[in-house]
Amino acid sequence: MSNPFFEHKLNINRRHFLGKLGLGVGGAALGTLMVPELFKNSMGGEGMPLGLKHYASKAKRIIYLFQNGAPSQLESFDYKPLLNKMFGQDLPESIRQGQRLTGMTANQEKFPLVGSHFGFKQYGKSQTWVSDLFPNIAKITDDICMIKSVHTEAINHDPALTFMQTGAQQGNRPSMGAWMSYGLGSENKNLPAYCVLLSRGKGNGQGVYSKLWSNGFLDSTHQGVQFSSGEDPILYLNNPKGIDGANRRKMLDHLAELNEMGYDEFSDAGIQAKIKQYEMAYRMQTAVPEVTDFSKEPDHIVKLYGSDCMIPGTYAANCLMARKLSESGVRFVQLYHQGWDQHGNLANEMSGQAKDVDQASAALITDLKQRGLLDETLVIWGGEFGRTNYCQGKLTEKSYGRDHHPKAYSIWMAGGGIKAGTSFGETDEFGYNIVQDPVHVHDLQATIMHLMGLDHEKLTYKYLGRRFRLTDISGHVVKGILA
Amino acid sequence: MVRLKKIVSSSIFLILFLLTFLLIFEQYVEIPLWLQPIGRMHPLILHFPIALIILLFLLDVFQSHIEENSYIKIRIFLLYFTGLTTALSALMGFFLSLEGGYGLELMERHKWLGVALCYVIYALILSYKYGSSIYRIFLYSSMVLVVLSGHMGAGLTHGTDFLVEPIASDEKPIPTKDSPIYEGFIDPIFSSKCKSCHNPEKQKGELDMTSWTALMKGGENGPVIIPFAVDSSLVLQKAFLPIDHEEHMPPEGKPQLTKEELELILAWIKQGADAQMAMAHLSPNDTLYLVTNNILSTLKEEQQKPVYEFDFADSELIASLNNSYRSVVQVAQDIPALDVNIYISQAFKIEYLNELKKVKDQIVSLNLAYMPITNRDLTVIGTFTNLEKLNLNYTNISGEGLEVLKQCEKLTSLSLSGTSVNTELLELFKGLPRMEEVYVWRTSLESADLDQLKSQRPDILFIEGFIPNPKDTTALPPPLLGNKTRIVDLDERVVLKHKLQGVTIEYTTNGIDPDSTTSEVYSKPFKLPDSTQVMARAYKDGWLPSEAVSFPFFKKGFEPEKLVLLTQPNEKYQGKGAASLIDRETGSAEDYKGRAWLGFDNEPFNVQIDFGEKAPTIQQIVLSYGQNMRQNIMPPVAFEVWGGNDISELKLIKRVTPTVPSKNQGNREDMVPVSFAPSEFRYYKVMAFPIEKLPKWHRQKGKKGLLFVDQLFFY
Repeated sequence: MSNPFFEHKLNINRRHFLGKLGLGVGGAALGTLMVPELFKNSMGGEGMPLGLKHYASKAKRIIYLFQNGAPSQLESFDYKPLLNKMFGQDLPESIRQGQRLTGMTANQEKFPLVGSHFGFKQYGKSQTWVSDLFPNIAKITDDICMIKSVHTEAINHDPALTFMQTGAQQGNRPSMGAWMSYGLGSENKNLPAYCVLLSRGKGNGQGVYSKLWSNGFLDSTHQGVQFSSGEDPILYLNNPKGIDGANRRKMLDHLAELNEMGYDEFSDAGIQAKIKQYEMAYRMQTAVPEVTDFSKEPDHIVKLYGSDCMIPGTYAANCLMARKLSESGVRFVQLYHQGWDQHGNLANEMSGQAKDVDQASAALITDLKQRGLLDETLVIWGGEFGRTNYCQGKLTEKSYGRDHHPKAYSIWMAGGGIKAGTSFGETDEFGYNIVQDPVHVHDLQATIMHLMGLDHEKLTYKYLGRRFRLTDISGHVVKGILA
Repeated sequence: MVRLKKIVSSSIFLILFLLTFLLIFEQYVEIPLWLQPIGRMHPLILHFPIALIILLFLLDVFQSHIEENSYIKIRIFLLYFTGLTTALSALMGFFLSLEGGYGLELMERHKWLGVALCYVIYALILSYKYGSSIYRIFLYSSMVLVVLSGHMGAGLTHGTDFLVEPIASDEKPIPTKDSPIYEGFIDPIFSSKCKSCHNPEKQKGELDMTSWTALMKGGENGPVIIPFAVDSSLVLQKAFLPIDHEEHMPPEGKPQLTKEELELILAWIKQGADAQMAMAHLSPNDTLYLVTNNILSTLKEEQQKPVYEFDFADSELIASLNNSYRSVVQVAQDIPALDVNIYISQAFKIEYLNELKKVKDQIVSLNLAYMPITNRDLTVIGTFTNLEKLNLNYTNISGEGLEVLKQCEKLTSLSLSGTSVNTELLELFKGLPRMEEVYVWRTSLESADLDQLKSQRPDILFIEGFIPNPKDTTALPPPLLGNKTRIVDLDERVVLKHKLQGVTIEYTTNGIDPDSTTSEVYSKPFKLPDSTQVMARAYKDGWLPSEAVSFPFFKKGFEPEKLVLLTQPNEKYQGKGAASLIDRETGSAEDYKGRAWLGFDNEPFNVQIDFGEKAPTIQQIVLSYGQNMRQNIMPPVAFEVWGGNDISELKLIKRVTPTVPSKNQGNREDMVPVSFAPSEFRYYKVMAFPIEKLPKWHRQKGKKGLLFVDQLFFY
């Protein structure tokens, strides 16, 4: 028997070949005529955002005042007098409902309830409850929306922080600021679209890591730029001795040429990003001194933020810097204030922490408002989770601690598109479970994007064969807090 | 000519045949992608039959005026041409209809009228030979048909109320919390998703959903809505069936109910499906309330979406207007309005403003804060007539010429903070009817003028911002040290500075708290005679004096050959070992975890010093230490200097006992000097003792304290 495959090969002669070729090419040509996208390269460029909002919205910029370490909601904004009445009594199982606890309190024999050491009062037209630790924030309650029903999935700092900032707990995704930079671009091309400012508190601290302001799989131009907390927020801004502006320009041009050659050879997108970053650094030489110079800030501004704002690296100085950066068109300013992890000695440490942030946080809102910028700036204040209503460690009248509590905590927002002077969501009398309007972290992120005019389901990036987004596969816009 | 006639005639027949076939098997027809463009040519071709039929009609009316022969020739030409284009446009229309997206009922009517028109025209072509009366019947009916189906077709593309729109305004008001949920929210869902098949004319399943009574009557299978009975209400049953189920409603391929809509109908039936029930009757925790509220806020949001009547600016023009210092962006993807920001005052050129005239109609928001804009430049801004938001904070305008802004009638927000605008605002706000917010913080406006403004325009919110209380008790930030290091050469000078302008600094060089009696006013950098503590305070009008700050200064002194730690520091604060005591790098009390510090708690600090064969004459040893009282880091309670030439027999030269602080002194760096008779020993031993028990005022009183040392100096 002859080999059928061999036979078949013999059947194809030139005429067949040309005929089939013609049909094939014709078919392909027809295909492209009918479906123009048929042969388009689907790798790069797919779904690249236009740098425009999906829909019109008020907010253009974000200042995120991250209170790292998880400030207790029970000593700040979620008033639960029942806990004071039930001082020392055990947390009822009907409330805990088998909730998992951290290794720090899981082995405790008892879970004695403890109320706030600090008093609470109602403030403003909105009659928002604020503890005595925050007398200045109490004065701006009519400008903010207090959300008392945020809940998260993580129970430890690092995953919770990462979840809050990147929408995933693992830390390989772009952070919120990087998504904003990717989706909306930069307003002022002389400054990074995403800046990060760190300050250390007086209380028990938890670290922050650069993965929190990572660009993830997005282009590295979207990475957060961390400012130094020293005297010079950005180092090496001035030209070195013997090099003037024209010289520098020439050097950069030649360097860019070399880099272009490298790019032509290797087609590595990282090289393009590098060229862009050199250019950005060059333009920052003029822009940054204008923004970071505090010496021209008048006395009344120093008084508003508190005299700490003259000490570089303090929370107050960072708030003032945040206002100046935001005013200069920086899309996303991320602050982290460390030291909110009060497992013990809560009353003492928390009053120190509150003193660090209270005046400057309120000052930022006031300052944005008097410049007519509050309605276009979204300010977010809050931590990565809440703290338990029961005491960790030894409970005395004056001293107690609180463990991590992911099931409910409070944050507040102000400005761009937020319904000011309202509270949203409720926890039960024990401050343990949410009884009304739960807001998941992804909901919060969807809402933040919505306020910035972005549809969280549309702003995606294709990576490893999947379209990623900040809110992963969930998240609903919380309409109740929109103006 | 005859052949052409035949071809055309048979084409018309073929198309008609195809169309009939397609109409019969409509359910099974799925139109391939490449045919869609042909379908979409329907709106183009359909104008031929309309015009041609009218021409045929006119030809008939004016028959007597036309020569017989010409009349026949023109008519035949027109007839075949009309037939062909009518059939073609009907076929294309059929394709287009399959794409979906058109109002169902109206489209059905349009389709069948169009088909009918096709047959009538074909009949017309066949009938013209058989006498004028039968021809006329067909001609007139085709005339009526073309008008009717044309009108409906226009309704499909432009909307049914297109014709009368300009004279009839039919804006549906957004329902409120008091309007019945059925009327405000449920019925509109039925209108958009159900009523096209369930209406009085077309009662599929014998169900009419257009009115409350008809709806409650139900259809062939009984009532469709049973109050409180979520499970047995047919409306929900059918909607929750799998999409490919035959009974699923709305049918597959028709617009489906959204999750939100389903939730609403479900919650409404659960609450009793009452015709009059409104949100106001429900508690705000009720599911129905929440779901309805969600939809309500979506409705409100849609209404708020800004509507602009001007055109989009050319995208290339927008791109060309963007540069490093100016950003010009559309407010959103589908909105033509532009948002303009100009940054970096140093780089500002007046062209950056002038060039914006190219998009003067589109600019709705303009930010010029800090730019050196003057009164004259306002005329350019006056041409941006659609401007809604203008930021002129800290520009150089003085108010003169501000009235040109009256031309920007749509302005709602104006920021003038930090400018010297004044009473000119009174004139300006005679115009600008839509103004809502004006920011006048740090302007030259007197409070009396402001009051007048407020009474002139009570509809405007004037924002004055933060005005510090003159009795404010804020303390000044303390002075700062200008020197890079506190270890100085003989001729080096101490530099003090302050970040605020106009501050007076007072200082002492003997470790005494500077108040006006003991201190000197700092005017220029000064020299120090010795290692000493420099203390300073800042003063300024309108502020409380700053806290006193202290800066221990050290001369370099002699360097020993070798140091050996005889006790080990706490394992958390090891510094860089004994060597770090003479590396001449001082630590910061704030940064107590830093590597400059050696920290002792269980054992005293004890170091042995060897000056080698040629020992210098020494008469003073200074210990540099840090205190951070919050972290239990306290000054030493005792400091001892031992000396001798035999390493095993050192004698105590001197012991000092600094006083224990009586209150929390916070963080600072300090020194303990010990002077003694000049000596030339080879070996010294230095000991410093941490506090055993923290003092009573300390929050951890009774606990063991820490001692932090960083440098030792020998003179």
